[in-house]
Amino acid sequence: MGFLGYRRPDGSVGIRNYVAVMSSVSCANGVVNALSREMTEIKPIIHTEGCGRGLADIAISTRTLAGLGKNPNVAAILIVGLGCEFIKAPGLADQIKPSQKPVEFLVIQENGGTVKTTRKAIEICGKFLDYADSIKRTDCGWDKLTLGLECGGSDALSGVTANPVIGVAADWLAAQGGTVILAETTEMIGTENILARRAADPAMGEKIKSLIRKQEKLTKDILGPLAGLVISPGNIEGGLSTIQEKALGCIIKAGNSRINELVEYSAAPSKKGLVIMDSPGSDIFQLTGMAASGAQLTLFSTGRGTPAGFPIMPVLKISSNTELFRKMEDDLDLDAGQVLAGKSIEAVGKELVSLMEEVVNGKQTKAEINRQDLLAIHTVGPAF
Amino acid sequence: MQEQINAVLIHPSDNVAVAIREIQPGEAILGLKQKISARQNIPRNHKVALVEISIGAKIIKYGETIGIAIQGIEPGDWVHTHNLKAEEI
Repeated sequence: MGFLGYRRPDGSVGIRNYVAVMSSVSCANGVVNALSREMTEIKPIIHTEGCGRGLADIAISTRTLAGLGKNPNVAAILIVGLGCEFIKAPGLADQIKPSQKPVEFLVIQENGGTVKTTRKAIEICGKFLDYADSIKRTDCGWDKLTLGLECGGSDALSGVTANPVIGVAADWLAAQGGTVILAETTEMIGTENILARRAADPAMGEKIKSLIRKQEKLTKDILGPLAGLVISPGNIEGGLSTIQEKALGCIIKAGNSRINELVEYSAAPSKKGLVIMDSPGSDIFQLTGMAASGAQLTLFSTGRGTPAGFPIMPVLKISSNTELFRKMEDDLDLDAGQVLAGKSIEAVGKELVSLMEEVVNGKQTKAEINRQDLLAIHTVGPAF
Repeated sequence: MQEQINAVLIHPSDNVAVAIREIQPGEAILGLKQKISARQNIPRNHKVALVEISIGAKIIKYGETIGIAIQGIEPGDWVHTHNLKAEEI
C-alpha cells in the first residue's frame, strides 16, 4: 500500500500539484506579487536574496532556489528575474530543467517593466495551470516520499510527547523505504557520539562528529561562552540534567533508525532512510531547507505554538500539550498531549501516521488552509 | 480505556520515566508496568528511577545514555544533577 500522488517526468512524486512563480532576486518580488493578485491559484515564491552577497551565500541561495523549483510538489514553474542581478532567471531555469518539468523565465528589464512582464507571466501561468490540471493522482510507493522533521517554539513537554510521537512516524516511513530528514545541527551538540554510533559506517560517523563539533565552536564564537553551554539553568530547573538529555529530546523526532547520509543545507539526499541535513534550527530557514532538499511534507512539533507553513510544502503541526492545542486549534493538526492523558506514544504515533497518509493524499493541513506561506533562505555572510 | 497517569515512559529500554505532574513521596507512579512508589518528591517534568541503578551505571532515556549514576539509585528515586553526571565526551 502506498499513496496517490502526482508523478513527475523525472520519476519523482508530488503530494501537491502547484504552479509556482519564483523571483530570482528580491527586486522581482513585486512582479511575482502582482501576478499572484491576478491569479490566486499560483504559488508565489518570494525571498530576500539573489544579489549583493558573497560567493558562499550566492551558492547557497542558488542551490536553495533551484531545489525549490525541483521539489516534486511543483508541477511547473516560472522564474521572474530583474536582469542585472547575480542569480539570473535563465541560469536558475537551466538548473531546474534536469527535472524535465515545464520551466520558463521572464526578465523584467527585457520585457518593459512591471505591467508588461506581469501580462506575459499571466499568459505563461495560464498554460502551466492547464498542464497541471492534466496530471491526475496515481498509485505511488512510500519510497517516493521525503519527510522533513522540525521542532519550533518547544516547551518542556516537546521531548516527552510530540517529538517521540513524531519519532514513531519517522521510523514507520524509514521502514517503508521512504526518506526522513533530521536537521537543527545546533540542537545536536553533545550527542555526536550517540549519532556517530547510529551512522551507517564509521566514515560517516566521523563526518557527523566533525559537523557537530564545528557547530559547537561556531555557536561559542558567535553567541559567546555562555551560549556554548547550550543547557541553561532554566533547562536544569525544568528537569533536564545533561546536554545529552536535552538534545535527545529533539533528536527523538527521527526515531531510532540508522543514519544513512549527511547533506548540506537545501541539498537533495541521494539515499533513503534517515538523513541528517546541516541546517539552522530557526524555523523558517529550516522549512526552506527541507523543501529545497526535496521534502514533500514536514512534521513540526511545538509546545508554545506557531502558525508557520511553507508555500509549496504542507507542514503538519503537532502540539506537545492539550492546553496549547485547544488555544491554537486553528494552527495545529494533532494533539500529542493525549500521551499525558494515558494514551501510549505508540498509539498517538499511529494516529499521526494515519493523519500523515490523509495529508499526503490531499487533505489540507491547518497551515495550508491559513495560507501560511513563509520562506527564508539561510545565509552565512554579510550583505553588500 | 485510558488510565490516569502521572509519569511517561518514553522508550521501552529506559530506566527512568518522566513525571508529568509533581509526585509526592510515597505516592504510586502510575502509567508503568512496574508497581513502584516515589521515594522523594519528584518535581513536574523531572525523572524518576524505575529500577536499581548502581554507581557508574548508565541512565537511559530515549533509549540512549543521558548520563552516569554518581550515587546508588533505588527505584522511585528522583534522578537529576545530584545523582547523575554527563558521560565524558
